[in-house]
Amino acid sequence: MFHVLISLAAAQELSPNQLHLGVQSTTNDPFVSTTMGTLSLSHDLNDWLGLELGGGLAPLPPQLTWKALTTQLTGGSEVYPDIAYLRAMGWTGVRLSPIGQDWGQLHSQVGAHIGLAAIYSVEDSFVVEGSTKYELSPAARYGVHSNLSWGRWGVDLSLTRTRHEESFGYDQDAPYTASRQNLWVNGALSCRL
Amino acid sequence: MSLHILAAALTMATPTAQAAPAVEVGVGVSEVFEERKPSAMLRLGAGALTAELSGTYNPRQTTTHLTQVLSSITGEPWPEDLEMWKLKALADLSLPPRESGWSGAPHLYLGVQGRLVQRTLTTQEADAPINFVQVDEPTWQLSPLVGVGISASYGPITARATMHSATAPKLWGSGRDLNHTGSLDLLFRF
Repeated sequence: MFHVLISLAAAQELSPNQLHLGVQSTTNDPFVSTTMGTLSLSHDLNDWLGLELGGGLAPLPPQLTWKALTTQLTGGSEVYPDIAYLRAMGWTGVRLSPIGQDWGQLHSQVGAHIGLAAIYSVEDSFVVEGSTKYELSPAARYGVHSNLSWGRWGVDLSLTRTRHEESFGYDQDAPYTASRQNLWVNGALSCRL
Repeated sequence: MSLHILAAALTMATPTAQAAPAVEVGVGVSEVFEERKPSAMLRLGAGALTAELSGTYNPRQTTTHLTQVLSSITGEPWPEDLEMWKLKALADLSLPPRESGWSGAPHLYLGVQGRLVQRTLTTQEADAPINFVQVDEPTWQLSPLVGVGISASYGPITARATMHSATAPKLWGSGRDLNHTGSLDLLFRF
């Protein structure tokens, strides 16, 4: 069976187009951690350079763990700052994968990626009762990735940082903007189409 | 499927692979939330399996941006763990690097983490510097750890990015939270 699988993999004509289906999580946000399902498509221009288009969606709002403590500290009164949580993200960019290595039928490829993203965030205001703010922010996106493949199937691992400006709406008279830097870890299954 | 692929690969050692025992030393930068700290590591490995010891020291006592925002909004002290030292003992499973030329591979880490943390209660008055109103005695916390990484090697020199996740006691209430550390390291193999 093992030899049959190797023969099948070797006989396949590999497409430059690859589909990646995965999950990614922010790892450096102390109170508003986000997990997204992701789907992306990459196209290899040659052995080491590719283009990527993808997106992610967090189906459920994250658990805002700081609310419990804020209530506790303020003696039961619900005083919360407004902090946005990320709900969706789309991205595009280039994938540089110059380091390749073969281990029998197993192929390992490692490289870096850089590009742009659009981050969609939601902020439920506790200052203005019942008010919800939606924000679409441009972001820079860069990181490293690896792909371990056998024939057309593979496993992706990537570590990516996104940077975007985010406005905090807790004080409408003095809107506060801060740079938010998220560090994402993404695991995905990949398939050459 | 990935484990089957990895297992198959590990049984197919190629002649160019690094198979003899090797010692690696390295330095790096670790990031927890948005704080960056220096780290150093010692590794001993052969083939696909490497044992690693690493230490991270936090030279500064900083508060996170969110801590300041929350404290200024609520006008109340805000608890935070200041991580002073972090020590990790890990097993690293990966495709071994080539002895010469470029190579690269994903990594899987399993191990334990000990960290020396000091809980503080921070408060901030409007337009005033931060005041530490309470600082507890430092305590050690021991946690299991898993991680992933990506490395690129050229001969004996390796650059790698890793993400380690360990459980840590919650700041409030009972139970534990996942605590993540991202790192960029530069290693040299002897």
